[in-house]
Amino acid sequence: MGKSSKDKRDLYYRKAKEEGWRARSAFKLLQLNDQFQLFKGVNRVVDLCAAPGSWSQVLSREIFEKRQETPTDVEPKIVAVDLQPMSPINGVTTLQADITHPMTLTKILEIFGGEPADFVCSDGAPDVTGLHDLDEYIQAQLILAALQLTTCLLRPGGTFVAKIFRGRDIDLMYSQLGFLFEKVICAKPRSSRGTSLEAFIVCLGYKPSATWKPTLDPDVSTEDFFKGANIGRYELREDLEYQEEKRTVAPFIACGDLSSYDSDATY
Amino acid sequence: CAPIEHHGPCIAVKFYSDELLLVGNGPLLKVYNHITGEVLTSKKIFKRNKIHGIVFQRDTVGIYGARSFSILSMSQILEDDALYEEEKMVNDWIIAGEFCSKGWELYLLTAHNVVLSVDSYSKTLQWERSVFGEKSILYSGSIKVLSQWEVMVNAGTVMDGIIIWDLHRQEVVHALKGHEGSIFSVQSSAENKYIVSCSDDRSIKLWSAKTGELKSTAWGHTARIWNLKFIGDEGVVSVSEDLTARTWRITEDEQLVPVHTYELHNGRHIWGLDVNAEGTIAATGGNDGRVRLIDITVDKVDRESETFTLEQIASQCQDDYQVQKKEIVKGFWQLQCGLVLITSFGGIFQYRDGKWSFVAQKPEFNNLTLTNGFTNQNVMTFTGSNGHTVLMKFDQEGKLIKEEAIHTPVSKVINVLSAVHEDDLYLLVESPNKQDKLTLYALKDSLQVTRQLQLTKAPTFVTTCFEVSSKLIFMGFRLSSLGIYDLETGEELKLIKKLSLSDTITSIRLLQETGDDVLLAITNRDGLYVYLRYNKSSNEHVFVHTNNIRKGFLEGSLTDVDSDDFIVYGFKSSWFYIYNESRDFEVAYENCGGAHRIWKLFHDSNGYKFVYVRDGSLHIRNVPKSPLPLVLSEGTHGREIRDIAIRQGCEKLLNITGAEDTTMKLSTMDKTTGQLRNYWTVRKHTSGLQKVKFLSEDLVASSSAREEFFVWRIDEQFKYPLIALIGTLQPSSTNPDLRIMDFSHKFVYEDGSVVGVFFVNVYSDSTIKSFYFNLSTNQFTPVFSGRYKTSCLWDVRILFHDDSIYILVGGTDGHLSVWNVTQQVPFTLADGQLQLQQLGETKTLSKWDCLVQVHQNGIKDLEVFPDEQGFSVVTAGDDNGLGLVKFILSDSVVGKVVAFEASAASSTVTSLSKISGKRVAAISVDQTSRLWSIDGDKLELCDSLYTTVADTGSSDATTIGGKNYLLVGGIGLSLWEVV
Ligand SMILES: C[S@@+](CC[C@H](N)C(=O)[O-])C[C@H]1O[C@@H](n2cnc3c(N)ncnc32)[C@H](O)[C@@H]1O
Repeated sequence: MGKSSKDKRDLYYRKAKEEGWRARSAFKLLQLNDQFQLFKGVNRVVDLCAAPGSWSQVLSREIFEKRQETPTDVEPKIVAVDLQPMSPINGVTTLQADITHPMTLTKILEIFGGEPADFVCSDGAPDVTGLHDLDEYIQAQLILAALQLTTCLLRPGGTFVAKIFRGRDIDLMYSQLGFLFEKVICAKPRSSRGTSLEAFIVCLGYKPSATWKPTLDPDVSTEDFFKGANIGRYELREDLEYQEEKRTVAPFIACGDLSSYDSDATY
Repeated sequence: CAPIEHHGPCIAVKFYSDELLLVGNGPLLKVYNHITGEVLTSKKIFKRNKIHGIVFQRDTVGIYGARSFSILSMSQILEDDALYEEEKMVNDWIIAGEFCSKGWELYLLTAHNVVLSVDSYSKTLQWERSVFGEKSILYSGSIKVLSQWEVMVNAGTVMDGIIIWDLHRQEVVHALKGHEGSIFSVQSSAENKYIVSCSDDRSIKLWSAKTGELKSTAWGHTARIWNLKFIGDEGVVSVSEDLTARTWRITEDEQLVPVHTYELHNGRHIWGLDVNAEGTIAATGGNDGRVRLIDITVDKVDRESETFTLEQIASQCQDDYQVQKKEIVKGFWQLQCGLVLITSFGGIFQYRDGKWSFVAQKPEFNNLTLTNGFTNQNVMTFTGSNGHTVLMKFDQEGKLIKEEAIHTPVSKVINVLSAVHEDDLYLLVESPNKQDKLTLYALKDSLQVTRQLQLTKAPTFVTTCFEVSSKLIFMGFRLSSLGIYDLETGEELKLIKKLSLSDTITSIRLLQETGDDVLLAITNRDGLYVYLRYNKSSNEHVFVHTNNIRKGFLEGSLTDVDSDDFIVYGFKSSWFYIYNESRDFEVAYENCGGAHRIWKLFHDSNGYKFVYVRDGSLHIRNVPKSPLPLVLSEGTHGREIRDIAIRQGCEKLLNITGAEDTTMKLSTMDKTTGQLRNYWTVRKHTSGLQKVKFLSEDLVASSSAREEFFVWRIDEQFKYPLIALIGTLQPSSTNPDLRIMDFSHKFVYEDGSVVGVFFVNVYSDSTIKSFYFNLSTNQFTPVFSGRYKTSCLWDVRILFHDDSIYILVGGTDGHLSVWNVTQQVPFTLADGQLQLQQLGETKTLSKWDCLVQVHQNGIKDLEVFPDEQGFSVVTAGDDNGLGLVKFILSDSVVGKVVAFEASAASSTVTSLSKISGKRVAAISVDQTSRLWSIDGDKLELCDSLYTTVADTGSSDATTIGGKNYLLVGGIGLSLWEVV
């Protein structure tokens, strides 16, 4: 009971129904956009872990439909990927695949045909087992898989947004992302419940490493991919010595203004 | 700060020998002697990570968890300290480990389907291996070492089923497809005949290890299955999110069929599982931190159950007894010398040492016979419908040595009950005629009647149970009422009506008697059980303990002779259950087909015996006292602990935890060892707990969603603490989601003594309500109410300054607001005490007097430090920040943020606890407790410590004998000493 029944009565849930979003998550992306103007000048997007597709709906509206009205010379492209099948959305190419599988990223790159993307987002959440450390690790793997694609596809200066759970090792992730982006911010939209650990990492201004060239290889795991990227990840050492990795705290921003709906409140 | 003990999810258990069990509990490795239950050692193995798996080869032990592992010898584990310095690390999550057949190297399978080989002696990396193109993420896996040259890797993926690959040849051997979703466990059988697997789809699949062919798919668990282990090549044990362990047998045609289901843990999830080498014992570890042993010998339940038809009974006897048509078992009782049974035609038999013998035939007991017995005295009584009663006394060898008869003064009997008090045996005879009195006989075990007493009861009452003390008689009736009578005169002293809303009192048991004071344990069929204290001279009673079982019918209670634990029993759909209420676990259950008319539960130092008649046959289910300690570690809630309250100012670490699982646990923790002793699991709330607090040494209040707010009293006059509900606040709205997020209280005095409590509660819809709780009537009277804005409120405190009364409120919008409520309350403040004035109309709270923004969003907790000018408040933010706000109180209220640490943690700061010396411990979801001191207008970090309790969300602290203790809760509990 508990959580699911609460969801049903949630204000954002009702609002999503009214406005035709497939999930209440749409408001999270909208509130993030209010704060960071994520869609400005953005034409080519990858939406990872996208099912049922409310983020893709937002992207379709903001990028595809708006371009229909005022066309630009760049053709908009939106690719949505999920383990689950997704019903079609205007202007969105969907792909059913595991984003941690090396082959998946190759497929996405093929769709983009050598052109870079402006924005990569991932709202991925693995099936939670209840083993907190494992769940956080798998979550981090989803982010890394998304980041892997990002390093192969994002244009310099581009934006990366991913769902995180602010658990025990999130500071490791902040530190590693800090090597690849100008600015790393932990943002919590007000539509995300205060009682949940969920937040979003907003990485602005992609600055690819000068010394490391990311290469996708079907035999390279996400872990191995970042070898040599020099982003402070632990690399397998022959002596297997225990090492403390670098941790940093990212600045926190609550977004959506204070007077907007409070997802913890019950009326 | 120094950690004392950790109680939390137990993911790894491993039988090391026929005496030793290795248990991972968070970062600690515990070695149990599982025969005696003793903990031989507890060593911290990892700095931050939890132990997820344990393997060994002879006396070399490999321990892994997350990206850490350690290779230690058994003697190191038993003798050495600072073992965490041996911690090693790899670059990926370790899914499984196994030593090679010689023990020289440890193979580690990582979450990207790569195997690393580690030299057991130098503990360095030798090589890594994988199969081409198969490096996607795994949720599970295992390594099967067949020989030095042949090693199979069983990899459980998230999307593509199971990949079995040969480690040395780096080739895929089988791809097992058929499961849906992530694979959570995959194992090879002892002789590598089979592979068994489970996934998100809740099925268990049995495969041929040779051909990869699917042999069988089994279903049964009602939630995800987390772990599997083979019992040799013959069976499988599975553990699940549904809190059960199940055993399965592999039939000759290679089908997996269910054998037995065990309910073992609390909350949610069983993770740890292992089976001993002989395949006779399984050990399980739960999210609740509990470690259990189960005897999995396949035919165990059959051995413990016996069934006899009357024909079978008669045919076993020497005497030639002819069973009549329609003759059935009518009654029985377990005596020390054996079980005595009577048939509907008056045939009396005895069952002793596995043999039946004929005792007597009493044709006068045709049809209705009411059977009673006095177990320890070896006395049976049979009463016919006409009131004729026969008493039989047996000797220890089961020989009938005496027989007497009583002729009751009533001509028709519907009910006879028995009770024992010291040497006196009592029989209570009830007639269906409303005018007839109840007759009580007192007798000795020589069968001589010493007294006969007539008792009057209300005509509509039907007696259901009775108990006798040295001065009193207690009778339970239908409609949940209780009568107390004087044993000397038979006079009714007291009638307590409607103990519960409905149903029948099913048992009354005398627990303690001191002078005129008695303590009774009373059960009601609807699930309520209470401890009642009654004083004969004052004729007053008080409920000192109240609780409810979760489901099913409650038929009675017992005190376990070995442990002193409180045991309850009854029926739950088609099952009969025996449940240990004190420790919150199931002792046994029997599928008896539902509530029966003829049944009885007996208990002695050998265990339990449930005897019942079904379809005319006699069924005996023995629950022998286990030779094994069934619970190695007690554990705590298996869900998030939302709040912790430690009683202040006493020697014991008595605490109450309130959890997501809707229960509260009353426990003590040993200050030096951290050992947990649970007394009660209180099940009154119907939604996850929000707050629980001690109001004083013996008063507690708790709140949750559905506007539930309860006041409790703790009684410590018995050998273990008792807790009774004394006050319930009526919900005001029909919104079941409305949560009471926090409350604050102050005691109210009249003529120098406490008469009530002033409460202020804050709600998730931004309302603030205040009540006066009268401690003699236990009634709430509203004092004032109001509303902040529209946001959810998280915190409230009532504060006194000079002679004014303030409330301080914090919530999801990151603001603190202060109201001066002096004019809104029916109390005056003098010398720091509220004095009761006239209670009047409910006042309305106007706008706040001061509003300060401290955080960007939610203020999760706060601590207040009063000073001359007003008070300073430390606030914990969802925005990772810690604030220090100073309020100056005079005619107006002025508040200012004087310090703000924006990055006080890398995640939400969820809870604050005051520590001596103007310090606070700040607990955050990054699993770190940080100790801050408040120095004027500054916040200074003094210490920071990592805790393995995940979802860190609650804390409380106390000082005992100059030492500070901090209890941190989340998924588990950890105890710290703070210097
Ligand atoms: C919270 S939902 C996303 C909701 C979505 N943003 C929307 O607005 O409708 C998380 C999704 O992550 C997907 N997911 C989890 N692990 C994945 C993986 N390894 N590859 C692809 N998708 C994955 C799940 O299938 C799920 O649909």
